[in-house]
Amino acid sequence: MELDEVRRALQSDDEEARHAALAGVPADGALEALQLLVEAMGDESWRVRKEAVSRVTAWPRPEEAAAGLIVALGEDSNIARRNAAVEALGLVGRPAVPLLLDALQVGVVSRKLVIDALGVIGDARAVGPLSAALRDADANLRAAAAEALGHLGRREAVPALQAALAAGDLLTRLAALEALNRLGASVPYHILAPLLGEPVLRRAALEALGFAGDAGALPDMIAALADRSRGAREAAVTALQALHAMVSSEVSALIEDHLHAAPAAALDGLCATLASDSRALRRSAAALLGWARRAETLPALCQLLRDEGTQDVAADAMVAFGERAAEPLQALCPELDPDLRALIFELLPRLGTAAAAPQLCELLARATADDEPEPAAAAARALGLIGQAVGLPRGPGPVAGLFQALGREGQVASAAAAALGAIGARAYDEVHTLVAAHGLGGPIGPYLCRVLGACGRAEDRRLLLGALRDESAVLRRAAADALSGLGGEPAVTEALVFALSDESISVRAAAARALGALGAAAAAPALAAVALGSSHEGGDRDDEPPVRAAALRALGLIGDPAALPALRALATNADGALASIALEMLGRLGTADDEPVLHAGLRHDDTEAVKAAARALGTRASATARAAVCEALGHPRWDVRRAAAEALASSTDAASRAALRARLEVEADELVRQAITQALAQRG
Amino acid sequence: MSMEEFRLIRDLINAYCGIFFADDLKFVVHRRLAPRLAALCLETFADYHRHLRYDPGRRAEYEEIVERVTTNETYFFREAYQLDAFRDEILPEIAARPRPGGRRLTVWSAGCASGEEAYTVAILVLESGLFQPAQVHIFGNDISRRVLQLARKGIYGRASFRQTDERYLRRYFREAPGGYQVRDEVRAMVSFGQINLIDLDGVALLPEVDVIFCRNVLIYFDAESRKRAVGTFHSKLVHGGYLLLGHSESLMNLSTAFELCHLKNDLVYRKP
Repeated sequence: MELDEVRRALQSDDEEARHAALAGVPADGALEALQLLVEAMGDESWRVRKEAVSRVTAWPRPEEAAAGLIVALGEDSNIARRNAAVEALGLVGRPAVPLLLDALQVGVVSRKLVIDALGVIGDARAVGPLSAALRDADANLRAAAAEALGHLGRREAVPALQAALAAGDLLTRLAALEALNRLGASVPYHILAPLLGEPVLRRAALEALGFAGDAGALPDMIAALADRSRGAREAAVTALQALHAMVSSEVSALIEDHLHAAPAAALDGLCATLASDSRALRRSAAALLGWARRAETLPALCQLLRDEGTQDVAADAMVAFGERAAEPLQALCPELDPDLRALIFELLPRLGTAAAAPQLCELLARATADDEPEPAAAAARALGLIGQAVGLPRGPGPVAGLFQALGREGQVASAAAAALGAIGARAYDEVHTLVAAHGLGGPIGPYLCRVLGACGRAEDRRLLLGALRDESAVLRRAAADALSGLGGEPAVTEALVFALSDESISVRAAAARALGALGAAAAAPALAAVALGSSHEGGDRDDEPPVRAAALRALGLIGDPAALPALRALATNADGALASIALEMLGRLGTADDEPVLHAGLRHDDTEAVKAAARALGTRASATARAAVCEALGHPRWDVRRAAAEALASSTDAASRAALRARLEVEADELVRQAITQALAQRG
Repeated sequence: MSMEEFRLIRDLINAYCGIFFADDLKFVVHRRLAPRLAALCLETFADYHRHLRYDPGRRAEYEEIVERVTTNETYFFREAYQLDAFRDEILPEIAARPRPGGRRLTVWSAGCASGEEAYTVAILVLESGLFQPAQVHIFGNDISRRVLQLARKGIYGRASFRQTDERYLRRYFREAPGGYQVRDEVRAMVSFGQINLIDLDGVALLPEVDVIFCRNVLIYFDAESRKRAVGTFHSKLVHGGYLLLGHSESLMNLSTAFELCHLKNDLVYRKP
């Protein structure tokens, strides 16, 4: 589109025509075109303004764009354009900073808007001039400078902001306080204390106490939990949590003691904050109630379990009560709806030995018969955890209840089976008697296999071998899975090898897994043939991916070097599931000759294969192996970079260390940063 | 569930259906998916991740996940002010448009859950008297089979009627075991299908529409999935078609392809 045409279209009454005209503005960088775009930033339509901002910020010469935008800051007649110019300058970013700093000095355009733009950009070069602006004669400018320094996020600004707390006007002092809070700056308590008495500053001053790190502020903070102003109460909540996180364990304990001894009004204030619209505040309030450990607040915390955004914190808070929570929670249960009952049952095992109280276990045993599956399954899991950790009280109730629950639908039966298996580790005879009396037949047979798999002994193998021949594929699979936990003997190996020919995929896969878990070396040739599938010459071979994958993993676990040909053949397979397992197992069993295969694995299309290759190369001593893993630190996927960092943790060479450090400088992903930091720390 | 396992599984769920869980919802995801480990006889969430990546039966598992992680709370005549705008301003404007073959109306309830919104739209259209029922097609989609089954059945308990005028209840519903069932004349105007909003092949099955309702659905998506969904809505709307979002939702930072339409009762978006 010619510029004149664009200019005419931008005058059109039709918003769509104006919006479309912007697309026609030439991208060749002519100044006149830039001016048209800046002009369009003042359009009455937000769509046109947004599109114009987008075009300006994509201008090929950012400094030129910045100059045009700064001129627009001086327009008093079109506020929309001015505001859009601030937004656009923020997007242009660092190239605009020198011009903005000049404009701040010269003062031809609105200095306040220049300051706003500098705050959005966040460049450290602005700290000095903005700190100087804190002493400007204009109060609005002082406040804007304080706000911008808060956005800049540079700690060099802290002294100037702290000095501004002594300024004459409230606006500047408030802006400075808020900026200091944004920076998380530690302002001494003796400076903050007088500000608590100023209503306009109270909320921000309370928040600042959270960063002060001074236990002497505790009485003020606890008292503020009962403040009439909601803002002050919420600031106190946030501050107490922040303080708790930053101080020593002795001081944390002091905070908790203060909360425990807090007056009822303070606890009421905390409970009221549980209803805040802010999830962060609800979580903070829940944490504080956990530290307070006051029984009267348990019902409120209980209700907070309904909120999925705060469930974990609410549960942790209730667990913090310890054994004191057991009886009140037990009393609450009958009145609660099924979902909430399930949540309470789940946290009961975390209450320690009190959870093993006979009354509580009887409650849980009865709950396994609950009509609703969620609380029934949760009760079963809880019994399993309690039984495993501290043992169940004497009496048939809990175990019998779990046995009955095996006849329920899926998740209840699964939970009951897992629980019986866990309990059987301590109370084998009791569990085994029930299993033996019933036998492995019928609908609950597969679940009983799971029980035996978890707690069974060598003498139970015979029963399971019988189930491996059953007509039900579900039972055969369960039997194979269970056998993997009971130790090997030739008869078991033979039966499981034969089960590699089962007509059911799930049984074949389970048999392969079991052979791997048992370390059955005699099964290696059979497993290798299964793993290679039809690519291996001769006879019918298993082409089902889950079976081949299971066989491949089993080969690696068995550790027989005879498996290496199969592993090498599959390490470059296009199927990521197979390649990743083969690469992982080559990492364990392979030789120096396998390094080229591992290097090739780093270029696989499937990221699981790439990660396996990186981990495998991490175990190699050669410089080329380390170099390849270092390169993987720059992979586009965060999980690959994390795997590479973890793989380098054991290397001691300087090049790896340098690579980790260099990556840490630029890495934005928190999980990857954690892995790199840990790797560096591990190396010493 | 470690943070790494959570992110890997979350990314897979997001790629499948657009739904995104922030880091602080790890606990929730753990609770909702933990029973799947036992059901699939898996030991760890790392195993579960591999199952979702590679198992030939993984599609069924993704559908199971959808049933467990989607929130489907809704009711009839939700956000009444917006429905007033639809009935009093949007419907008359569409009815007044000259069209070959006469007046007709097509509406898409995107993310319809158990169907209350789609049936509400049908009732409002009938109440307006502006269109012959045979010329009206309302499509409802959701990714969850369970709620679609409820929608097809059309029987609702009291909670679904918390905002429903009694006269609508009497006129458009009849008593049924479990609550009230939508009458046939309303159900005849509505079709339901299992369509994933970010699956272009699925969405291609829908015709062009005059109005799209997508309320309190996009809030569960990440930014990229929201953009894709909004792009899809744009492609599915006729010129002059309307997009109605939830009261706390907007297209800011998602799209400038829609114009903002100031109606008496609401702000809505329109495809120019």
